[in-house]
Amino acid sequence: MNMALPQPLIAVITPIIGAIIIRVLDESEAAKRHLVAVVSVSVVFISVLSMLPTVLAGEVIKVNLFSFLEGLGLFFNIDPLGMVFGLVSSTLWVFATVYSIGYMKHEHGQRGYFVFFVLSCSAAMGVAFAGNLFTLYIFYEYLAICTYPLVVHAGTEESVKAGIKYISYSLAGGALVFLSIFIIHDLVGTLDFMPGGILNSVAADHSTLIKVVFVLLIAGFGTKAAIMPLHSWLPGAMVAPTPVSALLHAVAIVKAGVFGISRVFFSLYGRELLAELNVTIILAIVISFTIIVGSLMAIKQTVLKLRLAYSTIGQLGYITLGMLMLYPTGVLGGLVHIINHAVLKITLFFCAGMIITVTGKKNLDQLRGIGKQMPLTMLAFAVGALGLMGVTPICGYISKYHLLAGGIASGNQAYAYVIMTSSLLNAIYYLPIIVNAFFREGNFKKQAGPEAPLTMLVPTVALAVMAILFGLFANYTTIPFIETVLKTIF
Amino acid sequence: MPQADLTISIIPALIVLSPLLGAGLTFLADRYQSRLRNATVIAGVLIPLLMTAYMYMVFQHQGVLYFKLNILPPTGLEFRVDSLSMYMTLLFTFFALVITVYTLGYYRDKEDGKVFFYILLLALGGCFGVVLSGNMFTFFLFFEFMSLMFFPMVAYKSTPESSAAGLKFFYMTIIAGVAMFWAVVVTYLDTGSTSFGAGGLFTSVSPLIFSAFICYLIALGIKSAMIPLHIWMADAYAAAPTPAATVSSAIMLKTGIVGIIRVIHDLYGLSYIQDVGWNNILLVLAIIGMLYGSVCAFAQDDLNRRLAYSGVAQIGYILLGISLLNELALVGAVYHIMAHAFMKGSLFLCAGVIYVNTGKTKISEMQGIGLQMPIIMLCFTIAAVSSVGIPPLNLFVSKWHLGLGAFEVGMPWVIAVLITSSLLNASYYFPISINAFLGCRELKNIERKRLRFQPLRIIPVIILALGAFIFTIAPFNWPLDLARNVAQLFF
Repeated sequence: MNMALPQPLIAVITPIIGAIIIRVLDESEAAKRHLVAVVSVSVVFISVLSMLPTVLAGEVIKVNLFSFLEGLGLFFNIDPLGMVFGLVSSTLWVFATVYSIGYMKHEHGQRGYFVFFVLSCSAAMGVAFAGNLFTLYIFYEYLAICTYPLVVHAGTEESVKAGIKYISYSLAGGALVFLSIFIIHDLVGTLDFMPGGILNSVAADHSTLIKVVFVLLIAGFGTKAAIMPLHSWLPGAMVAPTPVSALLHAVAIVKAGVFGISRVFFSLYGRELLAELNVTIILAIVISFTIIVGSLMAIKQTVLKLRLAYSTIGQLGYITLGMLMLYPTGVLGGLVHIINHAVLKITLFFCAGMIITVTGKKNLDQLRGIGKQMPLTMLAFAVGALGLMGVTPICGYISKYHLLAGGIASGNQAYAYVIMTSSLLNAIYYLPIIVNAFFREGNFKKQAGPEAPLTMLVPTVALAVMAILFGLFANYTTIPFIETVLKTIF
Repeated sequence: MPQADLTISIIPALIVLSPLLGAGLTFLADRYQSRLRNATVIAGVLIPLLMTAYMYMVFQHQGVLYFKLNILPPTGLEFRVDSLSMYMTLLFTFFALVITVYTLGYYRDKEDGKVFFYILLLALGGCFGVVLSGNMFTFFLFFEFMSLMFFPMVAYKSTPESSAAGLKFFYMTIIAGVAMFWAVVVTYLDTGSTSFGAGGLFTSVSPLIFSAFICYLIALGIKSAMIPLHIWMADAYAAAPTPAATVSSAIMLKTGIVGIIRVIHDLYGLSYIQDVGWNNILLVLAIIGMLYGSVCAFAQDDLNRRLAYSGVAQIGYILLGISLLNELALVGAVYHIMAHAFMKGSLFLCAGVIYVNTGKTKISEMQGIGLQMPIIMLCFTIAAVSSVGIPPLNLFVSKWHLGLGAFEVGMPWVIAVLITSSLLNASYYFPISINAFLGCRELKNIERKRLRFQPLRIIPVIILALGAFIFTIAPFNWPLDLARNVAQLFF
């Protein structure tokens, strides 16, 4: 059943209004600016959340904005899959905005920062709710453009360079998507996302062309999803302020790429067609390569944020690999990892940011004994890191279990071996950080008062607790949610 | 087993929870009311012991206790108390109390041991969870938690050696965790369950299932110091504070053993293992361990190291009893779990008292120490004699059953191995005692300083040393009775 509700529009427009208000306010009015930012992202979160029961009940919310031409227009269609991305981003956006207040306190250009920070929220919501490939493309580019100023916020030469790399990768990827929009529209006459895919009808006549389009789309969205060899913008973009790295490079941007891939898989091609076309195996090899090499490169990094960035590359591979299995348990594992990885990785980034704010240290070898000065921070870090390694009962194990089970049960054990290898590698690059922090002597002393500004500490600890709760109570929270998505796919 | 036969009881969950809460309360007490600190620590381990005693009475009347929380997908958090869990919980909760009391004496300076108590209580909660768990997934959860908690205990002194030893253990724990995760996932996928009590879940043989078995052995073998996965142990025991080594030796090693029993009898099932013969892997490793551990122990001068290698040999006995797949041998193995805990526990506690009182860790420096600390060295001697298996001490009972079991399955040569290993035991323990009492010709070399009587340090040692023979000379050997019940469960 289809319904029209105002919430999608509210979610997309509120941040725009918020951004305008922040821009109009004077640079010195920090309190008001923070209030507007937090309120506008909270409104987004609440309006997304209010749609959850409707979507879980199996109804699809449609909002037609306007169309340029036949089959080409801005069109929102909130199905369970879009809801996953929408809910994850909007929830974490609230945390990240609160965190930004503490992080940005002593930085320059706070007004501009918050304008774009809030504005990108609207873009992310647009990506989540997009009902056809065209709308997805528009918001995808909108997201890239809004986040560009955030990446170059520091204004140094290095950040400008990274920014150029970032925007060129994004636009190039977008161009590939745009090209495939032409072809698909030409072939089928529509771009709307449908649960079973829309390309089935033309598959018999144009099988080569469809394969080409598949490659274009995967390359297009794969740039954002950091599939190797298209990943190199991601570590570079780590020059951004940490909340931006956290949100955009652990949650919104990279997940927008993965989300785009999931749309291609399940809403454009459909699971049956993909299995028929035999394209998944090549992609699986590329992804496995990405997972292993990404993890190996993470080991090599000596800067905390860079290590987290390479770890993201590997972890995003898990999500795509899970979806590639085209087997319910595996897809469940992949999709649930969108949520779990977001929660865990944002925690890790928040911790890295607090370390930078409080001590100014970025390199791993400077972090010996930091557990003494910032015990809560490093505990939260430990939760995030152990969670990504798949230690029970932190939520990462839920995804890992389903990915492994999917790999074994779908008959392709190679998937399972890749994931096992990668989790060992995860351990190799995360554990030394925790060990050094708590069990090596360093120059850190216990200090009076809270170890970090509370606007930063509270969201971080809350996220770490959330990660444990999502693990323990997964069969009441994340798993049923993803199972609704699976119903539309299988 | 159908649900109807089980008594639903929340006690197992509470037993696991109370040390964890105890750790939290201790943390708060340290912050706000430091006078209450010792009370919260003791409460954290005393309450589980009392609850276990109560649970034992319920268990006697009503049989298997069961409790399931529908969290922690895919299998749910399950607790199940059968005779094996009952036996192990009695043992663990008792040792937890003794060791914790001892630790209060060991760390008399409150600042020094502050964090140690949090970790200790958390780790103990994990240990209780392991033996009370009702399926392999729950087992895995607690097993991993306990192992991760043991790492800071090893590294607690934060010297370079202890960090290195801790790291070695840590990495092995991670390998164990990954291996076990794989094994549990395979188990669950192949059989649709990981619950204990069904007497065997697997029905088919495939390379995948064999890989799971090997992964179980790796994961549990690392924890229980099975040859060749024992390599973390000597370094860890030498570098760790004594209470940590004791907890590991008396309690944590045993969780690995329980795991192996569970894997063989509950997941794979007796007839399955007999058909495929995978127990022979364990048998070979056990025999190598018994001899190799003893020979290595011989070569160590550091007391903790010698005890660690002796532990490798002792674990060999237990694994031998499990791998023979025979009821009498399993009685021996299960009894040996208890016997070894008392024996090795008291040896370690003695080593700890020697260390905190004199700072000595090398055996060669301990000449004449018996004149300075007669009670401690007497306890040490009792435990050492016990380890050789001289009747009527505890280890005689277990070795006797192991021998009988080996005889029954047609491997009488195993008895020769047992005797060889026992002789080696004697040859590396007795010289310590002899030197301690008689080794010093010139009495003036001995520090005649009278040591203050330290009840918290001495009484636990005496209790454990008493445990080395009290059951065998009593008219009714209670642990043996329990061990027989355990064996009956599986045969």
